[in-house]
Amino acid sequence: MLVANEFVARPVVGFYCVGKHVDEAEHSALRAWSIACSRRQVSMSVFMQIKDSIDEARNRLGQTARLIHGWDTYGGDPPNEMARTIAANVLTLLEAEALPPARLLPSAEGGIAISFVEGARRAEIETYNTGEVIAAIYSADDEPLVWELDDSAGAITSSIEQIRVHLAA
Amino acid sequence: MGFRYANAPITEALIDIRVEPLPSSRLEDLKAIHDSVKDQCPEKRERFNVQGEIHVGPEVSASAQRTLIGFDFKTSDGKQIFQARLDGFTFSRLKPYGNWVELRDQARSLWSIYRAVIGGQKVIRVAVRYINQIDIPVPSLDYKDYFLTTPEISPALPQVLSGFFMQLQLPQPDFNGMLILNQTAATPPVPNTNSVILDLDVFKEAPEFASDEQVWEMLEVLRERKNKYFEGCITDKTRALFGERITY
Repeated sequence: MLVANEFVARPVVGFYCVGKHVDEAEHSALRAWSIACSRRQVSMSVFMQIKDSIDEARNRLGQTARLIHGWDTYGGDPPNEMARTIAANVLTLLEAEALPPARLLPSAEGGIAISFVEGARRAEIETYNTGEVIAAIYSADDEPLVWELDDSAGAITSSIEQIRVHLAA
Repeated sequence: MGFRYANAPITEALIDIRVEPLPSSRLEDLKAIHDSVKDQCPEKRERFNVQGEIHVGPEVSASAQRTLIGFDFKTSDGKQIFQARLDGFTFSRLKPYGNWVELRDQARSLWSIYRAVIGGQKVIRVAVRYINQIDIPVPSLDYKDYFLTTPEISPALPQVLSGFFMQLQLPQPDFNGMLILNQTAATPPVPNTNSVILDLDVFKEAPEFASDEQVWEMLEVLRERKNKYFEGCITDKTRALFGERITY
């Protein structure tokens, strides 16, 4: 019989995965290692490439929790729990919609900026410490289009679709 | 006739056919394929092979280069991707997956377009690959309750994992092929869930096909093998997560 630790105190045969005790950076390192094991296989799979990009964004999102006031040397507030939670939800929906972001960064306005790039076309979803969510699409030739959305899955998914159409145009 | 699960965990299903590499001078021909598939795959992206080198000695230097190897053509929802490369053809279907017949027929239709462009280039590898993300709605679990193929950990070692990656390469001597099984923990989509990726890649290298008809016959064999091994990897407890079996 195998012994479970205090998190999983039930005596059964087998081994356990305790999903809630994983540091995000550690998890990402594990993914990086696993991907290195089968680089060719990863490169042939669209899903694996998306998963890798989303995991990288999640890792960066986890790192923003360590920022302190003035992180940008201009007195900026770090992203708070609300902004990070909404950003995490956005990443989950981006994964479901198969649209990985180009990068994820803390925003100088206090929040998280998730950016998309396709050639000369750009888009962003920003989640703010106030709970507001803003999406924007722009390119060198067009005026930026900016809109506010609520943090519901429906509204975020709808904005993701709008961004996809813009990037693919 | 086949069956599918109502809530199948398939996140990507793909059919991959490699050919003897074409010269880079044929890239324009591959690019022109987009004109034939623009209605169903309006998105076009270049696909690159990226190579990097790090030289470690008295001085450390690094170099990287990328080479255009083909094009990705995507449907407007991004869920179906047709890769037309110098070294082959891949058709992927992301979640939500329909069924094998749809996947095969769409792939075959696109392959015929690709084939018309590349000419009689020899097929050197065929593969069917299904990547499943199985989301188990419990905060902690015993993998052996859900999977019949798991890493075996010595009783002398701690039995609690925060992650794992397992790859098995299993020869298929009856058709001179190979199964690569990747199983790994993944980031769960929602809290209090454990996610496992079960990736089954069945392929045959160096085949001797007399015609494309034989290519598609082999793909049927690979798909049946993949189904057999998928069912062989999971327990009834896992099957229960996928809902009813629907015949088509």
